[in-house]
Order: sequence, then structure tokens, then C-alpha cells
Amino acid sequence: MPLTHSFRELLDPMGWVLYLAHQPPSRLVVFVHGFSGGTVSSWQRFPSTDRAWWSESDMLFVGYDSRIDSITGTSARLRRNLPRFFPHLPSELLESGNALVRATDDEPYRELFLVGHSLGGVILRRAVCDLAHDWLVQLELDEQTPRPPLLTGSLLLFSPASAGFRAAGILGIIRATPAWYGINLYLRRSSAYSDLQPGSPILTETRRRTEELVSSHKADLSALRARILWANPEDVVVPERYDSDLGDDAVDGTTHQSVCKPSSTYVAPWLMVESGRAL
Amino acid sequence: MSIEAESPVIDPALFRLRLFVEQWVVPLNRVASNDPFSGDPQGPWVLSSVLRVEADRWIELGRMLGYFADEPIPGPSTRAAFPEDRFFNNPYALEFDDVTFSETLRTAMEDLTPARREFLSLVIFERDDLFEQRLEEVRELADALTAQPWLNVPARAVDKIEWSLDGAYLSPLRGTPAEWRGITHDENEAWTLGADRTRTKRTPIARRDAVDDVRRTAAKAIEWAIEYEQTPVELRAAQASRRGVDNPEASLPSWVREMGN
Repeated sequence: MPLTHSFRELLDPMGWVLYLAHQPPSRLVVFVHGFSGGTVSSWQRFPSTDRAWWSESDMLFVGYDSRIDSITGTSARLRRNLPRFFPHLPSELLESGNALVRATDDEPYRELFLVGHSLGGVILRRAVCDLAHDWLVQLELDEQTPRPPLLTGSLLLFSPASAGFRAAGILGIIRATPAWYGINLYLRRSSAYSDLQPGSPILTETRRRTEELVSSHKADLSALRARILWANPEDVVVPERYDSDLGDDAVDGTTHQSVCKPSSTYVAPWLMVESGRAL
Repeated sequence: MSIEAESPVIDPALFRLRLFVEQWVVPLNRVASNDPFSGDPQGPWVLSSVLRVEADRWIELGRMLGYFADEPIPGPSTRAAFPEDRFFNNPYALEFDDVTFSETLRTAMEDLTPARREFLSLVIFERDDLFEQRLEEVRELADALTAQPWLNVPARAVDKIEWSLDGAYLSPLRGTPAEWRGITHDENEAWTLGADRTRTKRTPIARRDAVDDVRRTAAKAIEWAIEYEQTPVELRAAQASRRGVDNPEASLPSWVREMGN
């Protein structure tokens, strides 16, 4: 398998990692990991494939400290920073000391894919919902306000925590982690953990606003409508989608942690992002 | 190396090498070139020196695979005075191609969180007294949680012992230039470069085991706290009494109380 991408750690925003395709890309795929996940390691082999679709994709892995950052704070950071990368990637990111990873051109990306796992799914839902709300407010002031490019994206979620964690679910995550008792200490101060309790204000309000926005602006706000792939069995989050979502499916024999990790024998995650259908 | 005079060239291997040098080698050179004997603690300096050699190993391996271009690396090398055999195996157990190399290099870079660096610095490279002092902080907190598992530990206190929590996680980097971070070899002895070059009393493996002992104590306490939180309120007092954990004299360690909230 040929090496199709080279990665670059970003200093601003700190902790984000960009995988740059060696050939001119037509799309940007943004990944947001879940609670206690790693920026890239949560997605394991996503960048290691010879599938043609991915050779034409840049990948942006969003890093954040899920034990400290709130859902609102992280989604606001996304809304603030993603326009710096989409639809135009700054050409200086293709260069290091006069060496280029590929030819520079001014061609914008033609497509955007927003991919989230677990807590990352909630963060993305919140980000596009708030972005849509801001745009509609601007439209009231100036009806010529163009739709933000981020609202042209497709939303793909792996076992999103949109309906919250199951009562014992978070313990399932942390007990599967070598340093789980450390994580438990963090949980006691984690706002994201509080936000992910079923029925929390942030979960219920994000759902209500999203469904209302899609209901009233279906043609313009398709970016708020997710396609979902659940693990089966899914014992960490409540597997409930929004009424406005485009559809969901489940993969037998996967867990909450493994559902988003492709491999040579489990290609569903790649298919899911490429086509919205995993099976 | 004068890169300013060059015209831009499309060369992913050169792009990767220059980026790796800029983002990893140069910052490590900066720390490793400091005077090792004026600093106290000394662990961070030694850690940077070892990571600098590890970076050289990644570059060598990457060049063999065509992942990195063949271009001289700027800055001083610490390798001449470095006992590499204590830390690095050669050849590597893992069979690399450029794709697996990219994956494992990324994993190795993601592994080096601030907590992880502090863990490696303390457990492998630091003087005994400083290691013991930091371990004692963790032990005091674990004991307090054992006595009263529901104690609310301030965020800054959790940050201070994070090296023994997330930092102590040993990632699967076997067969790579980062394998030494797994503290798996006895020959991987504590290597101090202090002024007196005093040998440490405990090897890194013994220190790692000491950290694990304390972690187990904390784990039991927190596991109990989870059970306690899931117990109906009216039954909690009896449960605590039965388990003998309701020690009213227990409180957070003095170093935590002094931090405030």
C-alpha cells in the first residue's frame, strides 16, 4: 500500500493534526474524537488505506481535552477555527522549509465531511446547530448573507452521545482504560461528563433546536442531519437519534470504542464516511 | 543547511523530514543543550536528551524506508556520550513499511503528553529523593481516598498527580524506537547525569512497580466510591460503616489543602 498522506501537527489551534494528501484533494474530512480519546489514535487506521476516495481527501483531526473542556467551549472553538481550513486550506501548511508535500494551488475543497465519535458527535451537532442559528440571525439583518461554507458539510456520527451516556456506560469506558481511576478523578470536575447525563439541558436544547431548524429550513440546513452508525451491542451511550436525522444503522460485533476504528477486516467506518452507508 | 536559498520543491519525504526536525528535533535540542548540572530537578533534561536520540533513530529508520529524505540534521548530537544500548534495541522487532512507520511515529508523538513526559522523567531519570517526594504525594492522596472515598479532590491536585494516572499508561510501542518508554528492560537502568553521578537505589522497573502499588490503592478506593454513589442515600451510612471507611479524622493531604481550591 503506498503512503498517500503526510501528517502535520498544528500549532494553532494547538493539538490539531492535519493529514495532507499527496495528490490534489477534493474534500476535507474533519474528525472529532470522544470522551478520553486520542486526537488521531481514537480513529486508528483511518489515514492508512489505499481506497481512492481517501487519496483525494485531506483529514483534519481535532484535538481537545475532553476531561476539562465543555461541549459548548469545544464546539465554539470548532466554529471559530474550521473556517480557517475550509473551503481554502492555507497554502503555507503545504510547505516546510521550502519543501512541498504537493503542488500548491488555489483550488478550494469541493466537499466537507464532519465525523464525530461519542462525545465528538455531540460537539459537532452543537457546532453546526449554533452556526445555523447565527446565520439565520444574520439573515434577519441582511437577507443577502451567504450560507457559511461549513453548513454545506455532511455529518457522519459513530455512536454519538446525543441522547447521553447510559447510567453505567461511562464506567464501562473508564474501566476499559488502564488509568480508569485517574479518569474517574477527572470526571468529578468534568463539565462534559455532566453535560452527557441523559436529559441534561445541553443535550435536550441541542436536539430541540436542531429539529426545529431542520423543520423550518430543510433545504439549507442538511448539514444538521446526521447519518449514524451504532455499535452493537452499544452499552455506553443511549442509541437514540434525532427525528431530523437522515438515518442510522448498526454493526454487529462492534463495541462503543471499536465502531469507529477501521482495519483491513472492518471497512465499515471507511464506507460510512465515503457514502453514508456502512453495510 | 541553507533552506532559504532553495526554490520550493515538491518532495513529501523532504517535507516530512523538515517538519519533524522543526517540530521535534529543534525543541529537544534546545532543552538538551542546556547545562545539565545547573538544573534541579534534572529529569526533564535527561529525558530530552534521550528523546533526542530516539528522534535520530526515527530519522534513521525513516530514511531506510524512504519516509524521510536524506538530508543532514542541524544542531548538536548528544549521541557520542550516550549509552544507547541501555535504551534502544536494534534491529527493531516490528516490520515496517512507510505506512506502518507513519502510524507508529504518530502514535509515539501522541504518546508524549505532558503527564507522560513527567512520568518518564520521574520514573527513569530523576534522583531518588525527588521521585520519592512525588510518589509520596500520590500515596497520601490514595490513603485519604481510602479513608473517605467521597472526598472531593481539587482539580489542581489532580493535575499535580496526573503523571501517576494518565502518564503511567504504557502505550503499545514495542518494536519501535520508542520501546524504551515502556520500561520493560532491566538493563534500562536509571541513568542520572547529576553532578555527583550517584547511582539511584531503585531501578526504573522498581519505581514503576512502586507507582503501580499506589495506583492499586487509589483504584480500590475509587471503585468503592463508585459503588457508594450508586447506593441509595439512606443505606450509605451503614455501607460506609460496614466497610470501615468512614474515618472522620481523614482529610485531604496537607499539600492538597495548601493548594486551596
